[in-house]
Amino acid sequence: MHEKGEISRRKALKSGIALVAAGSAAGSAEASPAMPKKPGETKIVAVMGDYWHPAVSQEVHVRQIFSAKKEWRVMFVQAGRYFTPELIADADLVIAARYGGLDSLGWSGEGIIEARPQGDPMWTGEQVDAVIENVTRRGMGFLSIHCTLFCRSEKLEDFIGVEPILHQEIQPLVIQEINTEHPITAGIDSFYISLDEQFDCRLKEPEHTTVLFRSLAVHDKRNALSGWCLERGNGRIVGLLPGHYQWTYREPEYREIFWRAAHWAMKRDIPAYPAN
Amino acid sequence: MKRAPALWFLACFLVLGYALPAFGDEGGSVLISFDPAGEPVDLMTGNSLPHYTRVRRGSVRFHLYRLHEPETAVSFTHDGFQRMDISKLRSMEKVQEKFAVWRLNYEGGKNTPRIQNTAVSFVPLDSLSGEPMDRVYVKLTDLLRIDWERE
Repeated sequence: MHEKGEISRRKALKSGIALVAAGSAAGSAEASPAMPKKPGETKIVAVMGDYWHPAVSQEVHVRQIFSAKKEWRVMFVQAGRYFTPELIADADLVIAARYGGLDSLGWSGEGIIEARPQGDPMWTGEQVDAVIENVTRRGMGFLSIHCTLFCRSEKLEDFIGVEPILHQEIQPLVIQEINTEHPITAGIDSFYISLDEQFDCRLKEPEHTTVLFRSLAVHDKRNALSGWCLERGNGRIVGLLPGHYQWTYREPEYREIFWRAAHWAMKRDIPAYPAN
Repeated sequence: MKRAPALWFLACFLVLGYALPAFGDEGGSVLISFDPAGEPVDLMTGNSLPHYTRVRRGSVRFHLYRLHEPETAVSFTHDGFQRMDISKLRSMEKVQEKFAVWRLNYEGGKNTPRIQNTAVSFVPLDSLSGEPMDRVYVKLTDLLRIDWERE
């Protein structure tokens, strides 16, 4: 449990956190650790999961995708209050699969929880500004996954370059019309996701945005724009709309796209995806 | 003394003469746009309809399953069946006709769900006189936009 004020040293060491920087989250009495990057380390901050999208399976699969990268430190934010400007000030990549609104479950560090506090807001003005600032000025990468386009922030929508369109019922998707030239998707054949939620979107700046792939919803036959990328200032953004369920992450083609997208967003060479 | 009631009556007449239309209009009109590619037909009478642009505020009704069951809310699907009262809507615009997807702009936000209502009815205002006409019933897909915010 977080003691009021800051994480205790004993708990920090127990959890393997070598350095804990005391900070203060706006509007919270608790400290928000900045988890500063170590030399030679790649720091990836992920905020994924909510009532509709399972946090556990997303974390399991994303960690598996990056498991070969031993120097990558992938940290998963558990509550909106911890997604702070201080946390991402030195992050190489932020991965977000999170719609706008309160956390579905209020944060508690207890092992057995009888009552939870109200959830923290996500995609506050401060959080959005921090992402924009770090991407454009410092070159941090940003992966906008699945429901992030429903962030309820016009500013973030403009930044990731899309106008959101809601999904229909959960159904199988065919990932098709794959961009054969872009390094994120080159050489990947059309593939099938057994169950997903097909968001759609309209590009706000088609002249500055590259379409990576589209999807066909098997039940209602909608052809939707489902993957795109663009550059903003010194940084890069990749939007991937599949990802409602773990079924998406079990598709090897999608895992490879995810792997490549992370490297591309960080402006790194893309090594072959290690089969595992 | 005899003139007082007459003056009073005249004053009331003048006030109500301006106020009554306002009560009936609920303060103005609602702008609508028809799909230029469409040829709207009144679902009740079968008559062809012009592309009205203004309808009486407060007269818009959505129809889910039956034309004789008007509703003051739009129904849509977003992780389940939901409704939004017209009073909260600022505007709505068609986004994907084939999938009945509309963008709903409302107090505090927006959404782009699949709309379940298939018909909408309203009282159009005569383009010249501004007088309300008979209620008409059209397919929702015949429209492009309904704007409650602009006059």
